[in-house]
Amino acid sequence: MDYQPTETRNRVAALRQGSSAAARRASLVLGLRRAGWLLVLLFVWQVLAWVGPWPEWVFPGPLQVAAALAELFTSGLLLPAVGRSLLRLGVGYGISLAIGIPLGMLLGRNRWVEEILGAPVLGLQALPSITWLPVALLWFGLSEAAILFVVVAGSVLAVALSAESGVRNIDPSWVRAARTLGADGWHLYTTIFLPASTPALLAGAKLGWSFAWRSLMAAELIFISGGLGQLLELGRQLNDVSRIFAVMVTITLIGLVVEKLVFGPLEEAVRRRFGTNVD
Amino acid sequence: MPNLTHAPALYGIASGLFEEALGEGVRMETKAFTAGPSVVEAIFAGELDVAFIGPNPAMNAYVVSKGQALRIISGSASGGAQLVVGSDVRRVQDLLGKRLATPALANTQDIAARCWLRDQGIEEGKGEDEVEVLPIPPSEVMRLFSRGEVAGAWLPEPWSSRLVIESGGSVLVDEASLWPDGRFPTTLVVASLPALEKRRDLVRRFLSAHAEAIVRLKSDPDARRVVSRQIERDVGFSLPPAVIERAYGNLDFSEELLTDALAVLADRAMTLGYLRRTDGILDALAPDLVP
Repeated sequence: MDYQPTETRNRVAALRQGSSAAARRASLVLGLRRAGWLLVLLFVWQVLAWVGPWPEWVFPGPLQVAAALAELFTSGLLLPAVGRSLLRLGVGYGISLAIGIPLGMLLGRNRWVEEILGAPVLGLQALPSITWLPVALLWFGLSEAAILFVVVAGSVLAVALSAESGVRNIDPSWVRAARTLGADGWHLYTTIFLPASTPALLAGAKLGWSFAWRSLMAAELIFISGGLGQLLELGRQLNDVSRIFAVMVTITLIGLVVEKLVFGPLEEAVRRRFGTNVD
Repeated sequence: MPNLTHAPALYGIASGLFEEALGEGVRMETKAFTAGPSVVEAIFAGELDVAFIGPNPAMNAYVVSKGQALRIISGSASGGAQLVVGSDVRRVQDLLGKRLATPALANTQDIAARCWLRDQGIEEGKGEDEVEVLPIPPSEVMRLFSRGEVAGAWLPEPWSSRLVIESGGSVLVDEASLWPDGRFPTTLVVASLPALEKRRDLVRRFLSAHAEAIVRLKSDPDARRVVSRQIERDVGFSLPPAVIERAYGNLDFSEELLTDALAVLADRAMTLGYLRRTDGILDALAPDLVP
């Protein structure tokens, strides 16, 4: 027997529908407000450029920067540079994840690994990655390998340290429960440590991504061989501040896109899985 | 190390010629920069009145500042740039799949090298039928060239002569062979707009001293010795006499503004995306000051 009268059921359905429509409306309003604020900020910047004491070739406004960006695009300099930098970033970052995550897990779970490598990893993490470039150039010569090395050196330890704290902070009762149920060795890593430390791994991956970007830009500014770093250096060599800003805007946009398309959805999925997506 | 293409400046400073010409009560301050763009930064910041600088940074500064920062007031040196290659490169095709060094991104020789590659139908890149152009400070190029990490380098004097004499390189392209009469601007004199407005007379006097420096450099062997001593004082070692002799042989000093060549340089920079526009670029010249 149905205890819920049709009317109530309809009302609940309507409420649900209404609430999702309301949520959609709220997110639309929020998006519009954000866009509005962005316009206000851009306007303030433009006004500063107009009325400020600096000539426009020293402090350009958003209009000049947009023009410089369009120019970089139409002259065919921008896209190849973006492609080259993203390729280096992708490969270097991929290597960092492949090394950093296992290394971090070992650091967190294996007493020997922690004892031997713990202090060096912590110390080297504080070393600015660009200091590796002179060494890399001597080891690998003027090659892609030198740049990749700097990118990996800059991001791998951030990934590893996040992974380490991730596995360290796992609820011990889960591990005990798994052991009681017969999980052991490798199995323990794949069924408990890896899934349970996902939030920390993701945080580490995000950190590693931004560290990789920084290292790449530093390396490309010094070892000038294509990429966005070369475009930045070109802006400096041409005393063209608006072009430098245009490259910075490009890097920011790439960051935003990656955040929205990759890390955002991943974090959302992790929050849902771990039940922490409470409004 | 200063480029020998700036010899008139070095001589004018070391011999006291410039200071003398400016007269009593005028204090002259000199400052050395490693590359044109930093000179332009200093001019933008209002720190320089006159400067010796390569043609491409000078024209670029004029365009970027919409004509409000500086004018090109005189020529100073022409010629003196070569593509020097290692023993494994005998013809252009041997460069494919290798690396070519230039002194700095978007500087005058960098643009010359990239345009020359284009004219040969060679693309820039890391591929096997491409040539990679790497901007590297000349002092480092010497080391990389000896180790075979760069196959060649397009550099101004005295670097091209150093590569030939000290590192055993040979000349694949003498840039002079690419220009009518072998003349192309390498160093210009520029003046900031405020200096031209407020201290025009001093700038004029400076220019006559510069003209005198050129005359002496061309006729008086002592003048070259003054330059060599100045370089030695600045960097702590002296260039081999053979290098100095070869370098001077490739250079010509003249106040003449090689207008047609400047227009060609501007066009090339524009093709590479290194100059925003070329229309009205010759308005950057203010030759009426030359005595």
